Amino acid sequence: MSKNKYNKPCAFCEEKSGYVDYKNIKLLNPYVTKYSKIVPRYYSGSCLRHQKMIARAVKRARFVALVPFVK
Amino acid sequence: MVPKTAETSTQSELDEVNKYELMVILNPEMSDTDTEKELSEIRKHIKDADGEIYHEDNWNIRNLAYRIKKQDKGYYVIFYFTFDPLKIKDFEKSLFLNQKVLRHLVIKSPKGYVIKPLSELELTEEDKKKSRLARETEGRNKKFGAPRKTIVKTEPAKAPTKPEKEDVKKETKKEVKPTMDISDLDSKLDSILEDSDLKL
Repeated sequence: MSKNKYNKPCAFCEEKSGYVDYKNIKLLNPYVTKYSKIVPRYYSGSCLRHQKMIARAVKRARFVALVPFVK
Repeated sequence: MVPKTAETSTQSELDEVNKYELMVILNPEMSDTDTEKELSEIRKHIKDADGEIYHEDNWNIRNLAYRIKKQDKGYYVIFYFTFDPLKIKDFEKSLFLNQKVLRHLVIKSPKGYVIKPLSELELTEEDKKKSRLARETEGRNKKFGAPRKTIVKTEPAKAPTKPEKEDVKKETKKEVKPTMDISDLDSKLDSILEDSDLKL
């Protein structure tokens, strides 16, 4: 069912997490590129529901200067 | 039975809804007493509006990812509290007007949120290295998947050749050395023998 090319399920679905914390930089790190852009779904393999949570968390983290807007 | 359960559910829901999370970035150039003053003011504001702080995290001075109000560093504090939803706008207004607050973020705490300490959230240097490596190797593997494997194979082949050379060098050195300082060796041997005699 998973959409990524490795047929791997979404990492957040496996944990059954219902929320992505914007303070958790460790968690967000793999979902941000070298230039601190949000990694698209077809690379990260996350499902739509969790991708939206990730995007929101990254945007919040950017606002409070935990993650840069541009590197 | 039905109304009772409904009541309890609504109460718990209300508790969940009224839970907030505030991250404040204060000016790092203030003295400790001043920062405490600012924090106590915020606490007072929450308590005056019948709010209750159930947890508080102090991240201390951290590097900002980008410059805010001509500051490269910020004093991070996070409050977890309950608050009246109708009064939260006024509360935020006071934070906006406060010049010592570089930035703030108020968020509704999600249901069943577990508060974690900073040490679990932050990237360690090992993580940074790993992520860098992962990014570098990802690109390489895609473009040049094969050469990486050959490099791994060549390493063990090189390793045995080196020690052999070293052994040869050592042997030659050993042969040369004794001829050079026989007199020294003799004197040393003598001294040792004397010592051993004494000990025995």
